[in-house]
Amino acid sequence: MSFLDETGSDLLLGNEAIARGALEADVACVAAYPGTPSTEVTETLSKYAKQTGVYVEYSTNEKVALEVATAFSWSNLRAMATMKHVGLNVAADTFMSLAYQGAVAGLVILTADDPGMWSSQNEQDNRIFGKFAGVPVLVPSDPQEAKDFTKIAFELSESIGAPVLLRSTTRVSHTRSSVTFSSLGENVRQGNRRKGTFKPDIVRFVSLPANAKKNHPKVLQRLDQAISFSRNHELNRLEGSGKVGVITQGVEYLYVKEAERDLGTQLNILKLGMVYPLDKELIVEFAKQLDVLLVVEELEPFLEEMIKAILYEAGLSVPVHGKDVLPRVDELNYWKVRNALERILNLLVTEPQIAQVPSLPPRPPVLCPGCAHRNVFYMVKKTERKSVKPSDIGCYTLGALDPLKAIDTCIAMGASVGLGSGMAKAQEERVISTIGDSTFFHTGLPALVNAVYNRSKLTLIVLDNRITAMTGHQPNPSTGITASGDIGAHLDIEQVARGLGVDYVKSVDPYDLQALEEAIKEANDYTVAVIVAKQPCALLRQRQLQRRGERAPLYAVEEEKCTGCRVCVNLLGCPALVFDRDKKKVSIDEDLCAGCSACAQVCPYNAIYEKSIEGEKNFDVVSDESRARWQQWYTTLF
Amino acid sequence: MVYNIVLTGVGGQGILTAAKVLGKAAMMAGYYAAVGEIHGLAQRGGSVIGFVRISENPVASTVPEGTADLLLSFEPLEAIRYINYAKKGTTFIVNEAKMVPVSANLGSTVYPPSEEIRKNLEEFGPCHMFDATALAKSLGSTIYVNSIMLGKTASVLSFLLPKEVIERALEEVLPRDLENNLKAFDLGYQVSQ
Repeated sequence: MSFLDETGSDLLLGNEAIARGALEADVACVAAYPGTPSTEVTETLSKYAKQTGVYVEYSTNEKVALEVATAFSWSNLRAMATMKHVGLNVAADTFMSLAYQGAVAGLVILTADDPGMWSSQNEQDNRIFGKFAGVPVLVPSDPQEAKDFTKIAFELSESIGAPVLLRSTTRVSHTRSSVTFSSLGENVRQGNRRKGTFKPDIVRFVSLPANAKKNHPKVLQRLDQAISFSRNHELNRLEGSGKVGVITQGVEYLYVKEAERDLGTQLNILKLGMVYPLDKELIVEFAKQLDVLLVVEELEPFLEEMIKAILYEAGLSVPVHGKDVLPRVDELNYWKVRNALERILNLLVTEPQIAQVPSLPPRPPVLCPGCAHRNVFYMVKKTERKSVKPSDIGCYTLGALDPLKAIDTCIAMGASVGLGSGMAKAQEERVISTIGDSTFFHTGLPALVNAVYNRSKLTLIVLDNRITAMTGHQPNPSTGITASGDIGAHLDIEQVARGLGVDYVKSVDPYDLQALEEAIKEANDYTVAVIVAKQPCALLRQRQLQRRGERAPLYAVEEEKCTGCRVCVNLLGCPALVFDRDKKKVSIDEDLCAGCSACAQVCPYNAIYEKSIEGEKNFDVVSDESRARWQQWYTTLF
Repeated sequence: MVYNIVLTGVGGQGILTAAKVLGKAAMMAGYYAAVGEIHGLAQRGGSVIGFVRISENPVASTVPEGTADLLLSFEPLEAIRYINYAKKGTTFIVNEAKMVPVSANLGSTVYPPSEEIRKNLEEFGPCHMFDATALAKSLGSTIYVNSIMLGKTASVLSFLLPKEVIERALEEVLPRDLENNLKAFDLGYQVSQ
């Protein structure tokens, strides 16, 4: 079974299904900034970019991604922009005005929300964004619908001339289940790279106030047209019968169905595929049959509030339940929905039999063995104890945890630099911020310009591993390779910083702790300083070495020299360092060690040596010879 | 009918791959399969959980707490961490090889002894505990742990999914290095514990 087969079915991840839906819709462009849980859509499409002729790009941020997709739509080519929920905040400026101007060819924006915050800083409900902008919102329940709705979203967008928000959640995007294929779009099948045409229309495409006034009423007209479209395409579905009604959507629908089966009851269900705009007539007709109505939706009472208003207007007094029996925070699950149903059905509420988990050593995610971020955080903490230390969004946010604890703040993409710039003024002290390479290009740049312009005493360390690591290694401007695997430009962060007028710029190898320490101290003499800590992502490097049948240098502990002081463990917290409580000795797990040598450099008894060198044990781990080997790897990786 | 499988372990052990193989096998056997995954930050050397639900009707991919029929843990401590998914009669397949979390190395907490873990699990149901990591190393690499765990799972799930179907799913999901993975699968299948 291949992803590009014309027919058949396969077990697909929700995000793969969205990618397939876009190909069936004959999409011409997909632009994205990666973010969990949205990433696999573009990751999948990038693999087939050449074969299908689809233009796939990783944009520097979500706003740019939306603008690139819009350009294709306005050139009469179908396009999609994909992002995680908070990405839409970044894209919001364009998104809100785009709603006035509308789409030419189908334009779909995927927002993958994260109820429960499995990999996010908040659990904002982006259905509200659709209502805010006046854009239709489609919500699939499972991978099959994710594929089907993606295709329908393009048709809807094109037929009414509005961008369409496709809203998925972690439990749809990251569920794998059977998806039946339909045929691929004609151009995709033939692998045609298409060329579009933009037809100027000043009133529509130039948002001068006078033009915007003319465009606003069109937003509302398009929403009316969306209702007719939803009826013709049966986006909203009625199931069952009876006096007990449930209005639901998304993965919540599956919880309702499972609870209904287990309770042996019959519900009257309205399953919404289009959650904005709501089809008032449909809601009223449905509610007329009922004695009671339960709205089952995760997070905000988005549907509930609109439904209550619709029923009030229609003079219906059927009791409506929702957030009185279901929580407004965190994702829903089977038990929460079943218990809510039991309550409105006046049944005995089942207490689930759930075993108590005993107190255990916690295992939060940690920086990988060999991750150079660890060295940076260790050194930041060592040299800059008193400074405020803002950081940013990426794997490196883990630097906030024990034992590194070298991060004070993390808000949103790029905020380490803006906050750093402000903290330097607010505290009248030097601030030391950390940011990843991808985040630096995403939203760090304007804030760095701000710090230079306003003369903030800021040291910014860019953790440059030349890849967007947290979301699974997508390329970015520091990588120099594009989404489809072509050679792009490699933007050297050191040169970028110099170009911006930063007072002190230095690139260092973070595996060399001494060099790192010197750079951080030297930076204190300048107003704005940028230190670029360059080492490739350890996870990626280990994988590549493994494929080549090579391995990184291995380190080991000389047992007689180890005093069991645990300095290495307590300073670095590397998972490869294992402390034996009985022997009171540290050892290095050879399966995990990635050979960064940081432990050997911090060991006060010089008890750690490079094991992989034949003959005499080499305790001089920062020798020129060792350095040269790393340098060689670094340059051959990209 | 819904058969609920919970897979747990440490990020990087191949838990999501194993879940995908079981999901594919269930689909090939004609069931509705839903596989639940968590990606992103959740997988950086941290505790990981995945779900496979095998059903006659479409279901969500999350296993409700207190309803796991099978708990497959790639690491002993992680079996206990998700004991809230177990019920009376849950079957456990546990890789005995410990991975000591950083928190236990720092000395703030203690890793419980294996026997205590086994006893705790056996209060719920039968527990198959063996060193899958050592077996994998005998084949040359710890990357075979997931195929070994799948082999053992096949021996427990024969009433639901024929061994050959799981093997076929394995072939589809892990075409690279297939020979060794099938060897590992068989090794796991034959484990007597």
